[in-house]
This record gives sequence, structure tokens and C-alpha cells, in this order.
Amino acid sequence: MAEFKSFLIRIITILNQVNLNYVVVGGVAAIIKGRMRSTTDVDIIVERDLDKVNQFFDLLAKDEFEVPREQINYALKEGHHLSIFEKKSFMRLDLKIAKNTDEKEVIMQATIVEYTGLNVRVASIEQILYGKILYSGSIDDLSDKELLGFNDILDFLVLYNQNKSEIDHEWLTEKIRQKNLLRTYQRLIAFYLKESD
Amino acid sequence: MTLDLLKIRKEKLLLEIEASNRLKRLNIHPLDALDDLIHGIIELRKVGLKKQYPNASEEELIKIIRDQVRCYQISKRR
Repeated sequence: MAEFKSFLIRIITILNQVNLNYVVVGGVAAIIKGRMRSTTDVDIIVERDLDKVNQFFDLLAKDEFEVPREQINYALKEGHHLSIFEKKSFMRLDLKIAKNTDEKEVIMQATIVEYTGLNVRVASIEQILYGKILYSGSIDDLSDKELLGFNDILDFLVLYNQNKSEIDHEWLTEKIRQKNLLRTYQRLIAFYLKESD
Repeated sequence: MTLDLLKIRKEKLLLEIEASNRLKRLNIHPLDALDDLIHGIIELRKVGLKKQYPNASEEELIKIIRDQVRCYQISKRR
């Protein structure tokens, strides 16, 4: 038992040790906010402080993580994520070093969630929903039936319904409008799960 | 017989929301539920793989699962 718990706690402990600012995003953040599903990776965005990032990699390597050193420069330059496996399990850390404004903002707006005595920095509900809309992109070509086949869409529908009263709708609408994805957003928030089409 | 896929998917999602609410009521941390779920999945997968590869070591089994997870990760993205 506790493969996931141990994996997450070790990563967060090391991040705290080197005082590297971070935020948990992706599936784990969605699960924390109310989506019941599985995931095999922990997505984290860290601040762009190269000294601290290198210290973080050193400590991860000492703690049985496979750090792909050869990909670090590429990840830094291009803003791609790094996949870091733990040697003895199949859990994976997908790490992004913040490069663009959205990534820096999601770190700044992180919320604190307590888990097994640790304070974990998790993306705000608005940022999670915004991310889901970005990943979904335009959905004009999809029927309702097809929509429910995509994990990001399912995440959005459940999280929106579960957290409706806490969402800063104005902020979210404005962010989505800036990306020209209002049609996607409006279609999803109008999607009524209980009604059969 | 034609299946109403949309109806089935909606019902599945509603059941999921209900399960999430039940966890909240029982005061179970969602990450603890995830931990249990992952543990169950790994153990089941290992049992299946052990039948297919009876001589495989624990490390080899994990490597197979890891490769399968990687393939799944690629295919699930839109």
C-alpha cells in the first residue's frame, strides 16, 4: 500500500527542502478538487530558479528517482515537461519549469491543501478549469457522445459541478475569452448531465 | 441492439460524482482513495502478468507495467 502516498510525500518534502516554489496541477489536482479517477503521474510546475531546480534534481536522484539529465536543457529552453520515474515503481513525476505567464500565474495562485501532515500547493479550481479548457481546445467537431470520451472534458464537467459556488466565474470567463475558447466553455457549462438527449 | 453511449457515459459520470460526495461525507481524503485504487490496480496487474511471465522478477513486472502506462498516456491525449 501507499505507493502513491509515498511518491507524492517524497517529492513535496524535497521541494520544501530546497525551498522551490511549485504547484501541483493535472490529474492529482483534479482528484483533490472532487474528480474520482485514477492517475499514474504527478504533474508539477516549478518556478524558474535554476539553482534550486538543480538542487531539487540532485536530491531526487539521491532518493531513487531517474532524473533524465540529458533532457534538462531542452526542457528549460523549449518549456517541455520532464518525465521522472521512480526506480522501483511505475509512478511518474511530470515536471515543468515555468516559462510563460500562465505557468507563472498558476504557481502564484496556488491554494494550500493539507495531506498527511504536509501542506501541498495545489492549483486553484479556476486554474484547473482553465487548463482543462485549454487542453480541450475547440470542441465544435465533437458530438455530446464523443465529448464524454475525453478525460479533460470529464474532469471539467465534474469539477465545475462540484465547485460551482466557489468559482470566480468572472476571472475564468475573461481568461478563456483571451484564448478565444468561449464557445468551448459555454457549451460545457450548459452540458446538463442528468438530462438525456 | 444499439447502445445509447451518451446515456451510459452520463450515468457513469453521475455515479462517479455520487462516489466523490460519499467520500467527502465519510471524511476520506481523495488522495488516500487514489492511493488505495492505485495499489489495487498494480496488484491485479502483477497477478495477470505473473501468469503470462512466470519467471519475471518484481522489477521486470514493474518495467512492463511502466511501459504499458506510458503507451496509455500517449493514447489518451486528444
